Amino acid sequence: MRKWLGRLRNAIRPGRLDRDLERELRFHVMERIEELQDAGMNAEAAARLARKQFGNYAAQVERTRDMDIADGLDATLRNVRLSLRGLARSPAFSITVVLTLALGIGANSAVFSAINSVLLRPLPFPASDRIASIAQIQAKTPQPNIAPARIEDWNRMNHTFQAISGYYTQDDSEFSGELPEKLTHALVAPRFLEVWGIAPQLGRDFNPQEEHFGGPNAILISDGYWRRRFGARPDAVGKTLRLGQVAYTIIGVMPASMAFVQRNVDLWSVSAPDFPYARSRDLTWFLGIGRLKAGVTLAQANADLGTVQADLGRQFPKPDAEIRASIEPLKQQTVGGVRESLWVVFGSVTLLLLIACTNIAALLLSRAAGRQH
Amino acid sequence: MVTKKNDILQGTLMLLILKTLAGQKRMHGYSITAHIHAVSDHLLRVEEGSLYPALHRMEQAGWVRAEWGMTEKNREARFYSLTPLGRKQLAEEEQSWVRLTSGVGKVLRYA
Repeated sequence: MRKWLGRLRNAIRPGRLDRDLERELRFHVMERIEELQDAGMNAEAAARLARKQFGNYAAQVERTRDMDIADGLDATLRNVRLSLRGLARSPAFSITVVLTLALGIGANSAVFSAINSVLLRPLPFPASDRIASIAQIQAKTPQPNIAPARIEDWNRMNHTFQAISGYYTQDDSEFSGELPEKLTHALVAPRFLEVWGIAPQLGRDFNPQEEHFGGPNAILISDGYWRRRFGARPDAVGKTLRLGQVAYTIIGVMPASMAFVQRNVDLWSVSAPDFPYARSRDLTWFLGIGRLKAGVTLAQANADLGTVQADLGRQFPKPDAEIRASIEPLKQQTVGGVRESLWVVFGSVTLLLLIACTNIAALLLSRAAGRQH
Repeated sequence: MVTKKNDILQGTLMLLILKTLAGQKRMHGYSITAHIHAVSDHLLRVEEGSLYPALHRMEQAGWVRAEWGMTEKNREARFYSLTPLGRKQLAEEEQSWVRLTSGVGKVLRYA
């Protein structure tokens, strides 16, 4: 191996080898001149004779160097040429082998890139492993949705979350343009952006007044809607949108990476938890999300929220006594059942690749056997 | 130089170089030719044109190690020394040389 590296270096940087060789050969000639002078020859004649004996200087350098390089690289080149010729001699065989391998490797890398982007890479939020999805479990209803009042209670009483928020989406008609447009509108609990750990790319987050009932109607728009409707102009902030009877002021534009809750959400506005209608503990509409404090484990958070909910159960026996909270990592919730199926698919395409390899091995063996006859 | 030109076979040259280096700690190319010339009673003269390619080939093969150093006259020269692998090679080549010469000798005597 080192031998081979040396040759490669010689071929790539023949200059170094030339210089080394020249130094070496020059030394040789000088020694010879000295010897001749010691034998009584004058300097000029000695130099002439030494050079003559030594032969063509450049040719010597070249000969030695070429031998060094040619030996190794020519053998490699010869091998490559030989194998190419072998491939060309039986094109059907070569094409079969190449296609079989290409299909096997192609399927494998396609599935792996899916696994990489879905399972291995984190969600596009800061410290996304701390984002958890929170569900409410109630024996009577299968729905995981949470009452706004309960989200506020959980957020106030827990010790393990930096913030807890919630959201739901609905379709709304927007009337401020020439024609009405149907938009997907996410209604969110306070602290929504704090949970994701992001800030609007333009404008600002909701302020406290806007998170309360009776406050100004403020709305955040998506990057996609900003480009589509406002041509990505910065003066979109401050404009007014009309959703049904209500006018909202645009306060900011979400970053393009905000592909959650759903990919196609156009608008976000606050659904105030102190809205009278929202105070009932029986009406549930938010899907819960929370950001864990740094260093808190899921088990700790679960236990903590369990204690909080038990307190609420004593305080509001109906309905909170029968309600439990359940937390799982957002990543797991998003990926969900896809995880298993992706690994299964990956396993099967890996088997496919193995089968392709054994097939080729068998092909090669049968060809070798055929050659012996 | 008065010595008659005496070509050395390529394989034999390597044997001579290996043997020469085996007796010394390290030698440069010029002293190798001088040594062979002197020890062979001026019968053998190593051509520079074969010496350096042979040395480099032996270096690639791992039989000799080369390094830059200073001569007693404070001149920069490339010094060669035998590696353990080269020592093994020398033993093998000596054996095969003995076999070859005794074989050739027998043929010459009896043919």
